[in-house]
Amino acid sequence: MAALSAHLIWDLTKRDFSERFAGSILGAIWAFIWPLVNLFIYIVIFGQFMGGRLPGSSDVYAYSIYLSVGLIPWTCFAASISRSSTVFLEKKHIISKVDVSLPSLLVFINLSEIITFIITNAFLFCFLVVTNYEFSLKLLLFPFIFFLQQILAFGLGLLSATLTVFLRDLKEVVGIILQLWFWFTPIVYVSGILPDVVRSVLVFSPTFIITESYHRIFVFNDYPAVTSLVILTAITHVILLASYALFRALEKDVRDFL
Amino acid sequence: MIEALFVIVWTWLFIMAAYLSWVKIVNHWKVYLMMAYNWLYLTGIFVIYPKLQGLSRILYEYLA
Repeated sequence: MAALSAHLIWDLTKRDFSERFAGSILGAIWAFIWPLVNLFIYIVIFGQFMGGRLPGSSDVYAYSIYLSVGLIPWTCFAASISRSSTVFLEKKHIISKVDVSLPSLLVFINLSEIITFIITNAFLFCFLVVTNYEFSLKLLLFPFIFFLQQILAFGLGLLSATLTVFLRDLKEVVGIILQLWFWFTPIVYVSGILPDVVRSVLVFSPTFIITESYHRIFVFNDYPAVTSLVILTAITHVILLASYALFRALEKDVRDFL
Repeated sequence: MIEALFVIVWTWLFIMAAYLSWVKIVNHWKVYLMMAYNWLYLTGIFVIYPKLQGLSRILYEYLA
């Protein structure tokens, strides 16, 4: 196996970013305009124009914050998985010529999406400051929950990237699963509106636990459910381990197939 | 403040352990070891961090 090269990962991340806006006059400035527009939609359109309110809260911005802190990480999570699922196929011209470590291709996608996430969050934090949001030390847990989320995205991405090489239809299946997964996660709605039967099943969804944790920290000024997070951490690492073990077992075949 | 201090020390501890293990171990099994470190690191953060709030309050009252 080729070694993981930090230089290569950083080079691919930079290229991914520059290629996205190649040929445009504003260039990398678009990387700031897109998150700003998305945030505008979440806060102004959903929160103000459509009058979205959180049950039991009189704060006019509570729903906007609720929506933003769920949707911004989800966008990063979903984009990381969906882009990872086809990365081996898209980068086969590099894989066939250079002895590149295949997992490093997933790392650059994750990094690229994390950069977009950080830019969007910087705007969100500016909004929170402007609206006199009360910051607490509980917010320090946010990067760690996000880190856990991205490990899960990496594990699932590696699994789908490996299998998509042999079964091309899988990239469509991944898209459908992510779409369904989004609507079965309390991002745009509160979990309290779900029927008890559905809720009792959804509490086992990793994104349910992660999104609820974000909401608890940002909106309800509370600590996330520790037991759920600890179990999720263990499950996430088992998924990562299993994905990596499967990838190692199939790595030669993956390279041959490409 | 204790919470922030804990995060810094805990992170530094695991970065050092991971760096030393990555450099010393040549075998590819070190990837699995990194996963184990990562699991321990996050579990520690999620379990210990909320418990520090009480300690932080006691210390704050003591210093006040």
